[in-house]
Amino acid sequence: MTFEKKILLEKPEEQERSSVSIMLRKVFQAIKLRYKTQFTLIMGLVVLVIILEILTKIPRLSDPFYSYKIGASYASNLPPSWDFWLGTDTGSHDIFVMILHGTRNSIYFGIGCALLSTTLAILLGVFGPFVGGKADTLSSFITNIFMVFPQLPFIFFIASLMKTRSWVTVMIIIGSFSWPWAARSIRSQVLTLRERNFIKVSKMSALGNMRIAFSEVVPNVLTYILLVFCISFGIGIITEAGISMLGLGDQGQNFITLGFVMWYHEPYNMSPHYYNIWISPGIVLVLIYLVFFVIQSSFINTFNPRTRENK
Amino acid sequence: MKSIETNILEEEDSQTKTSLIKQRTTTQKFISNSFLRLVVTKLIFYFIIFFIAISLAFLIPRLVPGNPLDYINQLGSTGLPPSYQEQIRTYMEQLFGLDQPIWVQYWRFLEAFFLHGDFGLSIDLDTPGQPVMDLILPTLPYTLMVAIPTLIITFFLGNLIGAWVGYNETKPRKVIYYIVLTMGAAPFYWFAYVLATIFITQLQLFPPLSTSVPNFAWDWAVLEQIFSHFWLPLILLIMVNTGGWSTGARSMMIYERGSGYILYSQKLGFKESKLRKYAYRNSLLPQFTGLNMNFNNIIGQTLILEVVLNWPGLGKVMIDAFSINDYAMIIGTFVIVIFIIVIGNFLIDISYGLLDPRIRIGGQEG
Amino acid sequence: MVEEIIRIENLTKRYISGIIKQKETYGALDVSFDIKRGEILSLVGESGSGKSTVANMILRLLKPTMGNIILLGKNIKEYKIKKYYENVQGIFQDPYSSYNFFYKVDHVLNQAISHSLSWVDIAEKERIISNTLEIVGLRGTETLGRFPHQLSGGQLQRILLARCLLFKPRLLIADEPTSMVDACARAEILNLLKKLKDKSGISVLFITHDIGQAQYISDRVIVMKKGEIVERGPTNDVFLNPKNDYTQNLLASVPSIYRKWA
Repeated sequence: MTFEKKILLEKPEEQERSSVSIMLRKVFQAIKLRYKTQFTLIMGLVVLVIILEILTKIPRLSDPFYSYKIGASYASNLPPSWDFWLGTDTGSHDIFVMILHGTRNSIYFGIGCALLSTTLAILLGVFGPFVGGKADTLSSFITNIFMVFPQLPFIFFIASLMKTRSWVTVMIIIGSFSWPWAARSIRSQVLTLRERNFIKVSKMSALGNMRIAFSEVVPNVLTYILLVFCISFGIGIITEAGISMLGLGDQGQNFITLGFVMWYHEPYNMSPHYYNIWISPGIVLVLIYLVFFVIQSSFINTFNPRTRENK
Repeated sequence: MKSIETNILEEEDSQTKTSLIKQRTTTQKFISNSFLRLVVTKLIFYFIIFFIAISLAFLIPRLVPGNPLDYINQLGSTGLPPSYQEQIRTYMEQLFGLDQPIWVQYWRFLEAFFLHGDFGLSIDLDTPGQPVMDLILPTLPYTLMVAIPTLIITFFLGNLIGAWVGYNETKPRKVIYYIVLTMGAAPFYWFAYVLATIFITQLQLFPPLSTSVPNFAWDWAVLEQIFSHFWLPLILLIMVNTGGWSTGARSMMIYERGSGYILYSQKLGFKESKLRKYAYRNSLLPQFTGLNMNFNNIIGQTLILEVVLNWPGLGKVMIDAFSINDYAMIIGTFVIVIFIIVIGNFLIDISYGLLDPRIRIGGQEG
Repeated sequence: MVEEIIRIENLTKRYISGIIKQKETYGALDVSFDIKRGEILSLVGESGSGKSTVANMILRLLKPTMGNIILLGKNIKEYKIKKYYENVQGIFQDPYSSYNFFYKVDHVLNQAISHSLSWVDIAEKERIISNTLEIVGLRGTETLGRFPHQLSGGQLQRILLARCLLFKPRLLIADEPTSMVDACARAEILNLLKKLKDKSGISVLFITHDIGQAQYISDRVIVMKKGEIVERGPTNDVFLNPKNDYTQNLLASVPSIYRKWA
């Protein structure tokens, strides 16, 4: 009886909500059930972002470019100490505070990038085959072209031509170039799913193509989609840092990323006396990347090779 | 019902295939109809990509706010009365053909490139008025001599490590695997500084970054100098790119290790080394499709590294051109980079066609 | 009163492959038949003979190259999708792949009921679902709220049948519904189809490669080979006096316990 009661209790709620929210909730619950570890890891990252957000709101840490003074003189070029955990640079800026801001913004940047490229990958990889016909041919042609399109040089090219570059434009440029491999792998999954019977069953319930794509196909390629998200996140952060380091990023001081911190401290590079300044942003980048790599490989483990039928 | 369709087709194909193969001589077998078809379709495909890319290279500077000439005007005409400025401007516009409608400009651009290989003149103050092509071409070998060995070495090294770990997952093997992966995770431009510090400042194995690389000449001393600078970018690119291959190779190897034919051969009592070879070969083939993406990445990485490690390749010229808004140079370097990537991808696809027996020997229609 | 439910005229499905050298294959070629009210028609043939292609075309999952399908005197192209599926429903061979493993088995039933009976309230829907499950011989407490992998193939197939019944269809297309379930469930499903035909007057297009099943269940039989109909007629006529060579071969290949050694 318990099952029936549960169903009876749940039902009236569903009636009131729109069908989209029901679908979203179902999908969310299904994710939680199936991807427990990954879910915890991602939640951990959300907590990290919240902590960083709170830390950067503390007055002492709120301005990355605040020039600190000790007594009457500026605290320039100090080695790491209790007051300045990673020391200061010539302009008396606290390196630790800069990296704190840089980390937070780099994570936001990566998330933005990943959202954009994942959305594009889903659009071309899932909805292309589902709309079918010309749209399908077109989407696969676009994917094939972008696949071999020289992304990094093109990103440089566009970035160099823009006189003023905000971080949003850099994000859009990177995000809109790093999806093709993802679209292709999602697409190949969707093509095998499209022939499964449950898609036919849904069609016989007179559901629309878009709705089937969203509620039946997307949950099944979710592992791929989340994997794509993680990888695009990594690509986004690393590429942005590379572009910023060459001086082709957002050079305003409102949104400093780890790449900006590297670019800002370029003169210190390779200097044996200032390891604290030039090594630390890179180490933070490696750490972020590794965390995402762990998440990503836990996803890969869920692709049990034994279950790769239909290939 | 695509599945039914393909099933039916495959059945028929396999019948015609056997009869076709019998008729062919060995030379015909090697370069088959379907191989030729692959070459032709790939040529057309990459030409389309190249065309789109150079069209974008033409179009984007004209869409981005700010005229290409503004910068030159700023240099040359500040302090002059406005009427003179206007005159200079119209003269310059006529000189560069900017007063023409955009499609005429486009046509001229294509004509100049395809017929004469000409992108215009550089405005760099060190080399004013030189044809861009003459400045770019000497840098090309430097980029390629780093990028191509990297591509080949990382492919085999990464797959070997991955397969080695995947075949027998012992602890020391896993440790090596994770070290390789962590190196791949490092942002390469930053890693370049770290490596440079270790190898140049601390160990003093290579010449300092500030010393410039001499121009190429058939002279032993010059070559030695060039190669002393050459190792660092190569080692770095290999370290960074090996990890990506080994993840793929490892999971492929785990898959192959558990597959039916290996288990069966094990039961039959095949030699361990033979099994390993079979599994390695089969796990390698799907990896080839990743070469295209990897080649693109390596070229991009080389471009950045050249700036960081002061290696006189295409990237250095490109970034220098960015910093002084040398438009002809920016477009020229960009088109040349695309050209390299497109040619590289084409060659990779063709060699994949040579490796894959289904394409090489042929028989599949459509 | 004998009423025609569906009439199929010259149904053809052609596949073209190859860009330069084109090759044609036919999934179905010039297939025509009709199904009357309260009749079970069997479509018999080896695998690859185009039975499923015909089924998919009738279910509008595949577009025919040529030919018409006329449901209740109206071409199916004139039907709206929703209206059409209230009249024609189908179940497939593999019950496991008919479920999205992401959701509980209720998902297919809810999908069906929210589109066929969207106006009724929750309690009523509950009642309808459990009634329908009873018809197919299942109890809601045993099946609802479970995931597909927790149930047996027979149970899953019967839930799918219940799903079809929610639409109150006039024609049920059963595409080898018994070939992937165990022997016990097989008999139950066959009897269920018979019961549906007798009690509710649902017509069934029963697709199978098993001649025994076809003989047991159907009123009329159509034998297909390579997309074409080779023989048709009342069950006993076809199976007792086969005229076509192919049908004779098919019958001869059925293993028989009681056949005497000559």
